Amino acid sequence: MIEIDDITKTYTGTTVVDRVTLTIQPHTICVIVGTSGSGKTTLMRMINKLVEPTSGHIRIDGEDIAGIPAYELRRRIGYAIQGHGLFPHRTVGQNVATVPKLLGWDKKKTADRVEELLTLFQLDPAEFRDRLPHELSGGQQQRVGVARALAASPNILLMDEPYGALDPVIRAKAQEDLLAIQRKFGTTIVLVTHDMEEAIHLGDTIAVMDKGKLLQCARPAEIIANPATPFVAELIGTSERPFRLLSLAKVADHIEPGEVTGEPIEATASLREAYAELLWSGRPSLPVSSDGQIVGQVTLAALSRLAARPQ
Amino acid sequence: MSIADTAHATTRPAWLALDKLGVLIALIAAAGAILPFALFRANRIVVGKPKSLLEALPSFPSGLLIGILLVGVVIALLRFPVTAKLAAGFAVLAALMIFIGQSASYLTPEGDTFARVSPGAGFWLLLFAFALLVTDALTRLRFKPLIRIAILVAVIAAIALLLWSGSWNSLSILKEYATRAPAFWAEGRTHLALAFGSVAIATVIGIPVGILCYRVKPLRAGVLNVLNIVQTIPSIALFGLLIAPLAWVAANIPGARDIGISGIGAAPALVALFAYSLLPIVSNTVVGLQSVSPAAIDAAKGMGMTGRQRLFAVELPLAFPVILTGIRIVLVQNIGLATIAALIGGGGFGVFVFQGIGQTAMDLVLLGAVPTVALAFAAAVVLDALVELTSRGSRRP
Repeated sequence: MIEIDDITKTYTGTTVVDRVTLTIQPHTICVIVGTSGSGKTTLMRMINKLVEPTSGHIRIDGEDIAGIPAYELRRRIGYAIQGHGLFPHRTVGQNVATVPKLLGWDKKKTADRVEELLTLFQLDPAEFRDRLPHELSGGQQQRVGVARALAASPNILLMDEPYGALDPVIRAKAQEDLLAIQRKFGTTIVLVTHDMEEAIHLGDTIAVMDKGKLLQCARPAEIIANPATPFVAELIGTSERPFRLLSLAKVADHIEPGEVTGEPIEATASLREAYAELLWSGRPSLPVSSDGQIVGQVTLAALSRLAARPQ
Repeated sequence: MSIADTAHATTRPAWLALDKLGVLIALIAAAGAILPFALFRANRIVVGKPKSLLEALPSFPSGLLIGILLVGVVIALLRFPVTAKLAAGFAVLAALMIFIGQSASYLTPEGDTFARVSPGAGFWLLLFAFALLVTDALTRLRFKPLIRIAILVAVIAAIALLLWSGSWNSLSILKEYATRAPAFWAEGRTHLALAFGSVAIATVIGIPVGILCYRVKPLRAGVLNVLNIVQTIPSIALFGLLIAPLAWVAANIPGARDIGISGIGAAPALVALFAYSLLPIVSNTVVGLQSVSPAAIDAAKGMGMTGRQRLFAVELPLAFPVILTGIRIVLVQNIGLATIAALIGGGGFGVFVFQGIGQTAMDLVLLGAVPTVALAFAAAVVLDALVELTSRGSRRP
């Protein structure tokens, strides 16, 4: 658990982060959203002491981080940034081994861990371990960046706009990978982004920041249904609200009995995808398939009800 | 031009077109062919008699050399493949080197130990023209660093072979060498010690100063400005300025004289060369460290590297090619500058240059100048190759 308690950061008179209090539950993803200059990155960088707060406290699992030496704290927390920040003169394997080496792991243990992580991120160790970062594609570099952040199995992972430099297709893939890895390891993730779509897709909770203040911190459905301020509403985009709401739930949770013919949709798809398919194909309902079996239907009428503002 | 003419033009082979640099090389070579190939003098200080290409060699070798030169010019002039140009350039240079030695033996009367034969303006121009062809071809071929070093080694070996075979023994520069062989090697050692020693000390001191300037921003402008001012002091003036303080140190600090410190000699020369070396090394260290990707530094911090670990594992390795470029600049500069050390009794190849000027014996000047130029050139090639080898992964896109 990360407890941010009344944190303020000022730089020569300008308040960048203004009395923010926020608790991040263990094993969840908390996405901090805001425009540039909102103080979201500064807030995140105070968690691993890359920025020292002017006042206030941050506790990790109850321990005030002010008493932990910065380098020791940082070795316990994964850190992945936009533009990956890989060391250009070191191979992929050496990059991933950075923190294990700092922690003094023995060679065998480090090599095994590098192999395990590269495999996990679908980078064949035999092929990629000895390559230099510039020989990789943007998506591969980003995966190595996250693998490096996870090398010493940290409980907490901080990510600063990790997908900012990726094209939409690779970004969607990277987001799915992150969700899978979070479920596998139960890592607590704090991710900073300016993209509300990304926040709704990834976040268990979303913290919206503007001009240094924390405006709202809630579950995605709550933020969409009841934005705390006009700014939060604007960030969500009023015309996007019903679709964002639909994107939060899966078809599997809203299957109705009934037999319809035609091209089925997978039960794992989001309601938003089902809604788009209904509109596009001009059908009032779609068959739902799961493991190749038709298990029911999903109807336009039901989805329209679900897309309406929750009462 | 009619359509038929252009149609004809396109069927021409690719090599049948003028190469722009080739035209320049041909013009220089033409001037070189007209000017005297060798100079004959009855003794080492009288004015020489110019000997043209036709007079400097017996008729058959003379015709052969002219033929080789013509083929070389044609290959340079037309758009032949670059490798052909490189081969032609090296072949002509080799021919020039061999025939200048032959010319010296041919022009020197039998048994005459006072007569001197030295290369004439024509020889130097021809050498320059085809050296241009070779360097241009080498640049265009973009050889890997190790291959460039291998070519350098091969050239050195070829020159060593020519020296060892004795075919140049009749040349005036080697006659000057023959009478002062022990002094030549002694001054050579001094020259290397001055040039490499000053660069080594400047590296050991300059890199930490550069790191300090990078870490402590307020220090940067001050230190770099002071070093800039040092750099603008004329070299002879700096040598002179150091005489008084070093003489005082030698006279007043016990033990200073024993380690070789004195007002004149090698000590002030070394100090002056060291002072000139500092700016390029310090500023390149600062620039190199500044050019390290901020994302890499942020990642290093964020993963828990201490300041020292960051410096040695990330910042210095990434800045190293730029620092090495600074060392290369300084080494080539100091190999040249060390000739001036002779003025204040510091020794080095400059001794021959200044003796030669004093005696109006140009051959003696060459005995000092040629090895200096060769050393500087070799140092430049080797360090350029090292810079490229160390920038693995960091500079390429």
